[in-house]
Amino acid sequence: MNHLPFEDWLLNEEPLSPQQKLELQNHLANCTQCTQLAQAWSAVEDLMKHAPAVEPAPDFTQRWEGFLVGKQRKQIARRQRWITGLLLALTGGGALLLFILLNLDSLRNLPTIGEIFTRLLSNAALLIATIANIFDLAETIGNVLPFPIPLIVWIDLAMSFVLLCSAWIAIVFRLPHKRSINNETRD
Amino acid sequence: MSNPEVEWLDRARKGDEDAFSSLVEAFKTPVYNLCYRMLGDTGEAEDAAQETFWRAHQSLGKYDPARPFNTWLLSIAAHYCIDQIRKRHMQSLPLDIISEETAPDPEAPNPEAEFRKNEEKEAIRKLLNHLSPPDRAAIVLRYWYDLSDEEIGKALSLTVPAVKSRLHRARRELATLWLADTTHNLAAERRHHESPAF
Repeated sequence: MNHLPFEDWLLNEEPLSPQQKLELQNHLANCTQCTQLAQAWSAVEDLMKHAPAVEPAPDFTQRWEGFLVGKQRKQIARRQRWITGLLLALTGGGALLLFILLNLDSLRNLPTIGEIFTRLLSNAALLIATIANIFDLAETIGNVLPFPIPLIVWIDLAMSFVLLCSAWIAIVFRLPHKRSINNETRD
Repeated sequence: MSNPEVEWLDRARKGDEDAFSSLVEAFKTPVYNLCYRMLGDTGEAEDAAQETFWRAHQSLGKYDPARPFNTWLLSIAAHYCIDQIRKRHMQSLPLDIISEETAPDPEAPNPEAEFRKNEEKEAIRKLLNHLSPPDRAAIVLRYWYDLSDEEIGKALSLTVPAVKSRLHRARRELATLWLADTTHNLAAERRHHESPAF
C-alpha cells in the first residue's frame, strides 16, 4: 500500500481540501500503519501543546547579576592580558631592533669570534636589565594611577616609546659614523 | 512587547544595567524553558540561560529593534544550546538525574499530580532527546512559542523549506518513538501480569 501522500498530510500542518480529507479518512479506515502514526503523533502533539513552560529556580535575576559581574571581571582581565602581550611584543621588537643596531658597528670592527661573542653577551645583559627597569617603571606607574588607562593610550605610549628608541639609536649610530668620515677627510 | 519592556530595552541599549536586569526578569522563563527543552537538564539549562543573557547583553548594540526582542533572545539561546549539544555529544542523561526528576515531591500539596506532571516532563525530555539539535530547536520553537516557519527560519538561520522539512522529519521521528515506547510498555505490562511458569 502506498502511504506517502497520507503520511505527509498527517504530519504537515498545511490545511487539507475536502477531497483530500475524504481520501485520508478512507485510507485510515484500511491502513493500520497510518492509523497508528496518526494516533501516535496526535498523542505527542497533545503532550507538547499542554506542557507548561519550565520556570527557573527562584532568584534567577539575582544570580544573573552575579554572573554578569563575574563575566565583566574576566573580560577586563583578558583585555589586560592582551595589552600586556601587545606591550611585550612591541618592547621585544624594539629591543631586538636596538640590539641589532647597537651591535652592527661593533661587529664590523671586532676581529675575533671570541670578542664578538663577549660584546653580544654584554649588550644582551644591558638590554635585558633596561627592559626589566622599563617594566618596573610601567608597573609602578600603573599601580599609582587611580583610573584605568584605555587600550588606545597604551598602544600610543608603546608606539611612541619604540619610535623614540629608534630615533635615539639612529642618532647614536649616525654620529660616530659622521665623525669617522670627517676625520678621514681631514687626514 | 509591552511598553515597560520597550522602555527597558531602550535604557539597556544606552548602558543601563538595571534596565537590562528588568529584561532578564521579564524574559527569564521563555529563555530558561527553551534551554531546558533543548538540554534536558536543569543545571545545564540554568547555565545556558545565563550565557544567553550575557551574549544578548554583549550584542545589544547590534540588535535590530524592528525584530521582536523575544525572538532575538530565543535565537541566541537556540544557537547556544545547539552548540552545547554538539560539543558535549549529549544524548542521554545519567539514570540518577532521571529518577531524581520523576520522583514525587512529598512536600508538594498534591504529590500524585506532581508525579504525573514530572512523568510528562520526563516523557517529553526523552522524546526530544532523540532529535538532532536543529530539529529539536525547530520543534520547541513551534510547540512552546508558536513561532511561524519564517520566524523559526530566522531564529535558526534556515530557509523556510528547510524548516518545513525539519519539522516534518521531527514529527515523524517523535510519532515513531512514541509508538515504539507505547508498544514496549504494553508488552512489559503484559509480562508483569502473566503468571510465572514453573
